[in-house]
Amino acid sequence: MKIFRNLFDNPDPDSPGRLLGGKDFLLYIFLIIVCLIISAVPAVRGGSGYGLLSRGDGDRTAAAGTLEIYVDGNLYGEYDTRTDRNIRVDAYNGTFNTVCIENGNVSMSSASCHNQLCVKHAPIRYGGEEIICLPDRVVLRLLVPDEEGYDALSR
Amino acid sequence: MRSPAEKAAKGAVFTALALILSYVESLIPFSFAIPGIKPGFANLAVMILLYISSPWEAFAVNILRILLQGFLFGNLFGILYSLAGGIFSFLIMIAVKRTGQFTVTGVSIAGGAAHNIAQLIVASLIVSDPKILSFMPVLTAAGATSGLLTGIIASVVVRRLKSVSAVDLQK
Repeated sequence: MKIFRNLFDNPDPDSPGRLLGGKDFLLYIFLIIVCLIISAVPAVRGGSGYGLLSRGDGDRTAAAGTLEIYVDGNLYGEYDTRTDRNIRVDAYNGTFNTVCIENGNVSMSSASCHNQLCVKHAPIRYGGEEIICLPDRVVLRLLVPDEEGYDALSR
Repeated sequence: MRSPAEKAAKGAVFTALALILSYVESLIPFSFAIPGIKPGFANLAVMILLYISSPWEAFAVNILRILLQGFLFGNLFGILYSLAGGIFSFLIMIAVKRTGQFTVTGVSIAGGAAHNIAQLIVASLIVSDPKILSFMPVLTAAGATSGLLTGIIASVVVRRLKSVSAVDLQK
């Protein structure tokens, strides 16, 4: 248990082999506190719903009506989520993704990417929720009902 | 004065070590709610070299490890993300080490946090969706935590290696 004793109480404070100096721990606590503060900011919480304390904003009672698909940052298409359908998305550089809309739930049913994180992602249903496939550069985004009918400038 | 042969041998050993550590890491499934959280064992080899050798050797080993790992097990995008994270976190670690205020563990904490911040910025540039940056707080906290853990391991190893090489070099 010498390691644990050395963790905080080392006889030689200048030794580079010292496990955890007081300032190291202060740095760690500082970073964690800054992260907590930032994730409490409303803009961050509203984002893709992955702040430390948050889920997506938007109306959690009614399903979103419009799905936007972006490929490489450009709008690929808009789809009504009230109609069940499968959409094949020709994504970045020859890759492709298949998007499934079923009962207002949107999911990535297949993707040519290597990690398949987007396929494993739970279906999205409410405004502001997103599924992102980083390797294929595809973003699926459900519009918050208020945003519908406005263009990007007026938001 | 250390000979070129010693530098080459040490660099090769640590590159191999970093490579096998990142391979071992890829075998262990870390499934958290958010992709991108991993312990970063490969940084162990870089941290140790940073302390028992020169910063530039550590930097070279880091870049070599990223390229080799990318071509062997990953793809071009993986290399891009890793390079961004590797280079930025290395610069931060050098800067933090230069201040002389922190031990191995503190330098590692800063490096882990910087690594995730840089990767997230690159990801948001590639997808051109700044909303991805809302992952920032949780990934920074995760980076600092994994940096804390690998930093503690690294400082144990650095201490042992220093006492061993002190004996060796005096012969």
